[in-house]
Amino acid sequence: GCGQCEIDQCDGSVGYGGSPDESGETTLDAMIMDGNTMDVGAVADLRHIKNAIGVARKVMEYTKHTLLVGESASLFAVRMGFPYEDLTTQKSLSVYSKWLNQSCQPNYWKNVVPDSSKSCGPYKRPEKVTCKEEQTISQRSVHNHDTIGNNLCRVGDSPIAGAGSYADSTAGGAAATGDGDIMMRFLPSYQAVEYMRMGTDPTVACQKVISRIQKYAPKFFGAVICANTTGSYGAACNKIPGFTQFHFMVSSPSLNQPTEQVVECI
Amino acid sequence: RGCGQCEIDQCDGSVGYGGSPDESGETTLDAMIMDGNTMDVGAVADLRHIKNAIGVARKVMEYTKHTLLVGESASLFAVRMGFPYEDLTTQKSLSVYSKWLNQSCQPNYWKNVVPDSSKSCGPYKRPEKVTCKEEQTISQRSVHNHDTIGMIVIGESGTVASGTSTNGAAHKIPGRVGDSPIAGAGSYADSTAGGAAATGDGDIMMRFLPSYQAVEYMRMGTDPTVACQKVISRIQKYAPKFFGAVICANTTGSYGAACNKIPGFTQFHFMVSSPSLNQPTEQVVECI
Repeated sequence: GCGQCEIDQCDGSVGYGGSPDESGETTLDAMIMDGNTMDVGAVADLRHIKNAIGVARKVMEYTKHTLLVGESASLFAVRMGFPYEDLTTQKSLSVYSKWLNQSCQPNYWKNVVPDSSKSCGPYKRPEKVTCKEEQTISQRSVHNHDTIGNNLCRVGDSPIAGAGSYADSTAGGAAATGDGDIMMRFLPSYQAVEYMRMGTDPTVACQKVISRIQKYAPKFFGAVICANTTGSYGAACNKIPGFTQFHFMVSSPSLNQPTEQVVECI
Repeated sequence: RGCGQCEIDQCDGSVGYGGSPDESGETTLDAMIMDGNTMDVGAVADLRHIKNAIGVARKVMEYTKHTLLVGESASLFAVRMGFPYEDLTTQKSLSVYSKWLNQSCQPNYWKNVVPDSSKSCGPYKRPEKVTCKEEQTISQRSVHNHDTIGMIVIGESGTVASGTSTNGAAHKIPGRVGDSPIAGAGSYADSTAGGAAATGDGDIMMRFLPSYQAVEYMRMGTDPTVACQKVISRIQKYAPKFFGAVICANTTGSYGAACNKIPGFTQFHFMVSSPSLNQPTEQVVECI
């Protein structure tokens, strides 16, 4: 499923040709987790290889490690038989130059000179350090999450077991999406599975983890899906301007075909 | 700063430059820092050519909205932040590396490949016909080829911070990132509950988020020692012979630790520095 999305470049937010970083390059993150053995394979900041989740699976099958990153992860992928290719497309090039033309907004820098909220870099630390923490509305939206303008080599929640997703065959599974930089500090997928382990209904488990993050980042952009070992499932999302509902697909023996479902954000 | 001092001192050869060369002979560093008040995190992994890894992690926290930067690009960020770009190799790491090459590249972290990774050096590739042979082997890590310094700090008013720094597992596959720079795995801090830090076989431990879970137990009122023991037990179910230990502390200043008992590792030593003690003291727990 994830691999298919990589081929199809789902919504432009998965796979090659999407989300160019600050230097215009597309780099990929992916993970796969086996809930029986709790084995994990993951890659992050993967360059020049299209099938990221395929490489993550090879990390799980051919190494005793959990996570490989960067250009070295690409070398590993090539050794495993994956083609080394350019992940750039016309689309990602044009997204990138448009971003350059709008003073590199939005970006992920803060407390630097020149002022990162007004101009492009390169940035550096100012002579005198003034740390101004503002509570800004998350600048991500449905269209650029896990996305554009990130610092070189930034790794978000997706490839991190417990953050991007978690699987435990004795309890259930969960996966998260949205502002990975924030969410990965709260291990939402791990915690949602922990709640389900204690018998919590999947929807409630998802809502609880969203609420926990809300305390520290009320305006964060994010959603979590949850399912337990009996096949019950649910989802939850943080309500912010422009994001009041979360759509997800369910495929189940009891349904004729995969169906799209919606939850209201809390 | 404790972690930073360890980077300068190359504590025990397992932190900072000149240690744990990877499969290609290079030393790469991982580190993280977490602020338990805001739950802000800064981390770097697979950091090349920069010595002060936890210093760079702090810059990630202070100058970006991100949590984790990796690889050569993390080095570029570090240079922009004013850190010197240097060679992390030393005579010592070079000799560790060539000794490893001479012993057929044992131990290593490959499996199910050809040539047989338990007998010879690489390069390896997938065999034509895939045979998956999962053996439960005793962890090949020992006190001498694991990583890391981890710290928990509890402030006077109960604020919590945590950090780790490591050069990772010796002879790791290039690009390998373990538990140390991952919030919830290598360490975790939450000023409403406590802090925890883990060490040992990061590849395994990071799948169980031990630091996060230990803090969660302390949040529910569990004693720090028991919290640490519970997370060790949870990992034991899936990997009975894993090499690892966790330290825990809550916001009142109570602390504890636990470790998994395996041949050659029956006790875990850790340092405690506290206003009630004249000087930092070394303490020991028996592994379970």
